[in-house]
Parts: sequence; C-alpha cells; structure tokens
Amino acid sequence: MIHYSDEAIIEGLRLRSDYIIKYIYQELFPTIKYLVVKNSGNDEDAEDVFQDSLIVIFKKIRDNELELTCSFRTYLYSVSRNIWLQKLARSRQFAREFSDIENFVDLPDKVMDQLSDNEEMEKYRLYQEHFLTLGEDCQKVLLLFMKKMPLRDIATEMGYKTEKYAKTRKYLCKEELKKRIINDPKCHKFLSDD
Amino acid sequence: MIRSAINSCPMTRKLKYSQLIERFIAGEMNEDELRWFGKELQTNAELSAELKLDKDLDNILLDEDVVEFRRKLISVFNESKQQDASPKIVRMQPRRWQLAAAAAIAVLVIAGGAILLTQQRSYTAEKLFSMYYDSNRTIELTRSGNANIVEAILKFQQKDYQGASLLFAEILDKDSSNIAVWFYNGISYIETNRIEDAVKAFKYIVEDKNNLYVEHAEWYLGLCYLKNEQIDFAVEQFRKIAADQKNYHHKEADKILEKLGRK
Repeated sequence: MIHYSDEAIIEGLRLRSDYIIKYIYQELFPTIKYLVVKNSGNDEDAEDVFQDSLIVIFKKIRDNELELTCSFRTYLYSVSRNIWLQKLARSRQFAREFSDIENFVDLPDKVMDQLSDNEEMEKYRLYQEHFLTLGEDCQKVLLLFMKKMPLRDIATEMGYKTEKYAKTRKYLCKEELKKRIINDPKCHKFLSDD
Repeated sequence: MIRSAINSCPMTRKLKYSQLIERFIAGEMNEDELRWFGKELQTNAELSAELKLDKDLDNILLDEDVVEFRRKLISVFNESKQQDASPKIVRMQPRRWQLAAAAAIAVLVIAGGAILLTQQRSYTAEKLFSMYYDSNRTIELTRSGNANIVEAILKFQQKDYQGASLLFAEILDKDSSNIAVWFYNGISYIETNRIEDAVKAFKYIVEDKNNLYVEHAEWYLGLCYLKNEQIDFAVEQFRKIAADQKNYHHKEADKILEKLGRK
C-alpha cells in the first residue's frame, strides 16, 4: 500500500478523487469503526460517523477553512470522536467512560459548532442517500432546477420535448423523493414542523 | 450504505399538499391564496411539515458539491466493502487472459494499423495503473513529498494524461533521475498518442538499467514500435524480451513473435 502525504489527501478530497477516498477508507475507517464499536455503537453507526466526518472535512477544504494543526489522521479521528460523542449524548447513551484509542486534538470552535448540530447532519445524510437512490434522470433534472437553469434549457439538456414536461418531470421526481423520505422510519423524527 | 427502508413501514404514508406547496414555492399563488396559505400554515401541522421537507430538500440540493461528494463516498465505500468480502487476489500479476488479450490486440494493431494503442481494452492506462501503481514499486514516487508529483499523480489517476504529462516533464526537468516519473510519463504519452516521446521515455528507463521498471519499459517500448509500424524494431525488442526467461513479459513477447511469423 502506498502512503499519501496529508497534502495529497487534502488535495485529493478537494478533487473528490476516488483513489484518495478509497485510501482514506482503507487506512482510517478501521480505527473509527473500532472507536465507535468500542463505545456502544455498531458497524452501521461507524459508517455514518465516518461519512459525516468526511463531509464536514470536505466542506472545510472546499471553503478553504481547513486549518490542520495535527496530522490528517488525528484530525479525522477528532472529528469522528466528537460526532460520536454528540450522538451518544443525544440518545442518552453516554457511556460512563469513553474509551479513546488514539490521540485527539481540541477542534476549533467553528468546527465544534458545525458538529453540535448532530441531528441536522443525520437528516442531511439520510435525505442525500434517498436522493441518490432516485433514477439518474430524476437526480439530474432536480439538480438543474436548483441551479435555476431556465426551463427551456433544462428541456433541451434532458431531451424533453416541451418546457411543460420538464416542469412536470421535476414535480414528479421531487414527489417521489419526498415519498421515499416520509416512508423511511429513520426520517420520521425530522418530519415535524418544529 | 444506502439502506432501503421504504418497505419497512407498515403503512405507506402519503403527501397531501405537494401541488399547493409547488405553487407557493414557484410564486404562482394569487393574493387570496397566499393569505389563506399563510393562515393555514399556522394551524395545519401537516402542511407545515411538508413545506419544511420541501425546503430542506431544496437546501440539500443547492449544495451540489456535497451531494456529489456523498455519491463518491457511497460508491467507494460500497466498492471497498465488496472487495473486502471477495477472496484476495495477487495484484502484482495481471491475469493470464489479460496478457493473452493484450498480445492478441497488439497483433491487431499491426494488421489494422488504425487501432490505437490507447483503445486496447485490456491494457488501458487505468488498468496499468492499478496493476503497477498499487505495488511497492511506486512508493518512491509518492514518498518524495513533492507537491508537483502529488498533483501529477492525481491528474494521471483522473485520466488527465496531458496535464499529468506536463507536470511529469516539469519534474524531470529539475530531477531527471526519478525513473518512476519517466515510466508514468511514458504511459501518459501513449495515452495522448505521443508515441515518439513515449519511446524516448521507455528507452531512457531501459538504458538506465538499474531500476525496477526496466522489464515493463522494454515491453511498452515494443508495443510503441508496433504502434508506429516499425516492425523490425518491434521484432528485435520482443526477441530480446522473449529470450530472457526471467522477463515478466517473455511469454507474451513470444506469442507476438509467433503471430508475426518472426519467431
């Protein structure tokens, strides 16, 4: 196995490189999995924590806000550790003793604020996962709408005959996405209006 | 990673206010309707929840970067998990059928003259990369900590061979001793159809002798000659490879010579 420098990992994440994501998964996921499982979680929890951590880091890199004061490994561990601690606290499963398995750093307040909204993170993950189960056509038409592309251009891009059909298609796709979400028991807690 | 939970709910839930919400968000309501909608929102929890869901989804889809990153995460994680579950294979050695296919295709290149080396399905640069780049042979390439090298590798991995090649050339300008860079630059040249330049790169590696890339460079040098229809040079090259029983590609070289009728 080759070893990428932290610089390469960050650049790879910025570019959404398959190789780098794969490398991070292979190199660092086992540690995060061990951390979560050792502290009252299961494999599925570990994957969620790992994904959410990488999303947080990706956003920081994209927005040029990532300030590494330690190795990437330690930073990822610290982010994951905090996400899992928040989740445990929210579900009142907080263990009397939290077992760390690696060194961690105190994260900047800005990052901690982002991590504190654990429920929002979970909601976004689940909604995004449902979006990604839609057909390619539906995903594309919804994203084009969100870019505020004119209906005529969307119809051309998607190969639809009329603008009206483009609008109907967007409506039906969003409807399908919403149906999937409201019928997912995991999403029910997010569906109240408060 | 994506868990299907739609069927796990005992009763399918339905949306009630989609059309209303659609008209509200699109700004298609008249004043009376807007007033009614505003009032209704204060007392109708279901309408309010459906509107919130709609807005949440819009917020999520607005950040396309994150959606695309999530797509990559899910895809890479699923792929890695599948690989973990499947039996281990020896990654250093290409499979026999791949080598046979490569040899057969190489002959087609000569016969047809128009088939590009880059179109060899069994030997795309991507496959080559996964065959060799994952091996210890490339450690030297990535450990240098040189930002240019990292960037060049990423470009290569993303199939931006032209971009990779420019960076590889820059690196070699400063330090021509990095054989791994010569090798990947050679592959990039093949991919961008700069066969003469590829020949120079592989020749440099072959002439250097004391490196881990010699055998592969010899092989690609032969293929480059084939691509250039320099059959005599190719034959000479493949004879050299075939004669060396220890050469990783000797059997394939032998097969090519047989097909060429020059054994």
